[in-house]
Amino acid sequence: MTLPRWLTAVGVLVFGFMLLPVALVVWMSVFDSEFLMFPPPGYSLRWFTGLSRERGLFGGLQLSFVLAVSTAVLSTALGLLAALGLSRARLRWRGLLENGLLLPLLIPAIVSGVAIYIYLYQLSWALQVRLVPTLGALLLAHTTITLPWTFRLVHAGLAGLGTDVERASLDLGRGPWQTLWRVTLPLLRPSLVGAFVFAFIFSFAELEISLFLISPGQITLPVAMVQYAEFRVDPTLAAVSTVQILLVGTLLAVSNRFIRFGQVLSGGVKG
Amino acid sequence: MTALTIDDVSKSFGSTPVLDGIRVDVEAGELVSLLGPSGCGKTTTLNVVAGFLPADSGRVLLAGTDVTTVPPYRRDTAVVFQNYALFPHLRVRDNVAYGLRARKLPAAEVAERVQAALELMDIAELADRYPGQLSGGQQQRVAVARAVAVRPRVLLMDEPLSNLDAKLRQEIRLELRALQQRLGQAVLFVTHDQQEALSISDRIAVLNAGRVEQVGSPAEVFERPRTVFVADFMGVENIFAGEVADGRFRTDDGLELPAPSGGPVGHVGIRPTAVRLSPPEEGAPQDAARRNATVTGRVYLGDSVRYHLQLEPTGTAVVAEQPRGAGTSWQPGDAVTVGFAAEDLLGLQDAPAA
Amino acid sequence: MTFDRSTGRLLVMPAAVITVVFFVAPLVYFLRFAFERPSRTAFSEPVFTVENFTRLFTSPFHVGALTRTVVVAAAATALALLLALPVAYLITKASPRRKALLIILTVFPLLVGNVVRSIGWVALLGYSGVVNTVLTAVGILDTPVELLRTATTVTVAITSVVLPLMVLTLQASLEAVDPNTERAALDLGARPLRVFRQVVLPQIVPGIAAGTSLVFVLCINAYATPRLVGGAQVPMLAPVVYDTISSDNNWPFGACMAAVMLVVSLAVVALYGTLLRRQFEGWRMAR
Repeated sequence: MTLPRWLTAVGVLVFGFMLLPVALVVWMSVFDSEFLMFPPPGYSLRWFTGLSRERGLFGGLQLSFVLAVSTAVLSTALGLLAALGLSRARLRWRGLLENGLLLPLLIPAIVSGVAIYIYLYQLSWALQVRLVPTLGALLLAHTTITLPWTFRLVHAGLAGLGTDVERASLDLGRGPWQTLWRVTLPLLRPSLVGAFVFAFIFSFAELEISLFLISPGQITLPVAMVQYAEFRVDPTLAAVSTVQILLVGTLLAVSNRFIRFGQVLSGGVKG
Repeated sequence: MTALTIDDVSKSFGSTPVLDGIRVDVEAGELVSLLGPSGCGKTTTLNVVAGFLPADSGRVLLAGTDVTTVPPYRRDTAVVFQNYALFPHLRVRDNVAYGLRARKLPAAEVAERVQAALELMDIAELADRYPGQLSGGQQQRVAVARAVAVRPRVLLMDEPLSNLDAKLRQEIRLELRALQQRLGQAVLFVTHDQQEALSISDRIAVLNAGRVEQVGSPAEVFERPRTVFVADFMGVENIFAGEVADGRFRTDDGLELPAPSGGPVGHVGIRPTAVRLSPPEEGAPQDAARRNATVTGRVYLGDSVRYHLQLEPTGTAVVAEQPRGAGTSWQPGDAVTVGFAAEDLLGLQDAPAA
Repeated sequence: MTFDRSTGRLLVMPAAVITVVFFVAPLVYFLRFAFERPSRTAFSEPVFTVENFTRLFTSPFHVGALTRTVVVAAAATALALLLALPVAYLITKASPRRKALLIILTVFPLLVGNVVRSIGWVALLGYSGVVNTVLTAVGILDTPVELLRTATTVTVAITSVVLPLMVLTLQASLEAVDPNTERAALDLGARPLRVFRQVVLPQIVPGIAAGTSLVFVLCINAYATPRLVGGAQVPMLAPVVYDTISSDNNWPFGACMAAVMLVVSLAVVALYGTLLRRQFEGWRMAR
């Protein structure tokens, strides 16, 4: 069946609507001017080379990168363990556990942020240990909200593998742990890479939970960008945004063959 | 009156030709099968006739009217899909009414014709169910009812029985044929199953690689296949390449056979059931050719037994099939005489005459 | 391979503990503050009261922010649905190669994050932004006008931000529609738009429900876009909650607003779920 031409035209316009802001930011990042002016007087890469002088944004970039890597490692590891337990052991309360791990998807991030902040603050008082703002609190918060994704991805990967190859390995004389190490994990690599990339990107772009958990010397990139943007939107901000765009784009391109992002993201909240 | 004319239709997907000058007619009240293996272009032909795919060249005529560029919703055809494609969100009644309502018929007539179609297919009691609540066979009936309700000029059926189990398939096959004859409905029936095509059709068009190899009645196509492809598809397993010389047919590996009747041919074929086996140096009097052979394999099939043989001295492989209990039972290694009757030899062409 | 139960428990434990201790517990705990009295000297005065809710629903500013948030969210959701339908349909019908590309183009802005895209919208609509520059250059405007800081632009920007999720959800739902049902309808005499309305749309109602409820919740809770595009002139819930807690240090009132947002969000999801089950009990079995 051939589609009518107007439908294609509408499609192009809607994609423009989605992508235009992103494209505009990339364009702005190479303007050779202090302020936004259209058209720009010229082009330059100086905002990228000068990024390290922007203490707030550059610090945010560094912190967010470290945080995103740590979150991805921790979240993927926890997601893998939980998925293994839930798909390869006959646990009681299995349905409850599976749905419980997905719970953070259902809760609005701004609410979770408020809740975690208040809770940790109170806990600090009770324990006489400073819990917020600390890097640990950020890491734990990011881990809990990325865990549903990593768990879901690895769980789906394990379900896709099935147990036949594992049975074959057991049958051929490998023990369960050897089988896990030599058969299951290698076969699961695409899911694990996907989970890692996903957790990284989500953590890197996460704003709402971090809002409450940052402190003056410790601000994640999205929070720093919002604070900066409330003050002014200029090529410096565009440059740091472009760094984020390029990072996400690269990860997306590299990992696209491992993971069907569209499928994972559709219906993000399980309806 | 010709209900459907497919006139020299060609179609390519990219640089891959899928249909190459297809010509098939369906007369009023006639059931014509498009028979061929997967990828032969039979479903593409049906899609072109229904208007789902544009033809690159050629014409499609419905009752003499050229509909080649008419969109599907203005063509007087109705398709029964292989997967039935029932509307899952509509009750059976509304599925059947769909085409009638799209044609903006008055409500009373819609109700009447829906009821008639449901009764015709013996599913009146399912009218208020959703497709998801029906068995495969029931869904199939709904699909047929939905299509015949609009009384199309030609009914297009795309492997409509292939999702049913073997027993049900045979039953419904008979029923469909009876229904088609009662309604006098012109049908283009796509199938890959030669049994099905033979049992249900008035005529069969055998398709291969986007071309019609042969059109004829089931008996003609089965008994007098004209090309190597059709013969092979109709179960002629022993096919020898060669040429006619001095009134004899000499195969490429040196076997001499009587020349088959008809024009010059490049191949000769014979069905396994027409290959006669007898003890060494014996043979039936009617055999036009005899050869010594060795049994190389034996496969028990229940009703019959198949023998794989090697002819001497050429080593040509031949398959024979004998009814169980008929004649001697041979074992691998046995020496036998293989005989062919002249009237069983089929002269075959490489490809249909252009 | 199967692990025994104790190993399984051990494997699930870390994830479960982290989720319970750092997610579920805070959610349950913070609700307490919504029912306590603000205090200048401590986080709260530990007495049970519904004062916060009374204040929230009698303060014109807060009622305004709540209504505005719901209206903007509803409008953005409706707009996103309208725009996403044709795109999702196009993606579904595209050849495999093009489909992969289009999905990447949809996923990409989503993963880039709402902060970057909100910044893009500010650059587009600001005083010295693209739209103002173009409009003054061609003479439609004499001087730049304020395009930001209105509920309309916030709605447009939020729509653009949530659109990819709507597209992906609808596309997943459309993929499950048997294309032969569309062909059958065409073949039975229905025109393409009628086929879409009568045959395709009803089949993706679950997807539409999932997409709209998901997107509505995201809109209700949007922070970056209202903050940057709307600013103080267009107060919406999420930024107001943040300011109440961060700047005013009024935890109980902030917790109260967060609780209201939570209830609205969960109610929408639950309502949709129930409606769906009732409406489509019959034919959903077909899947």
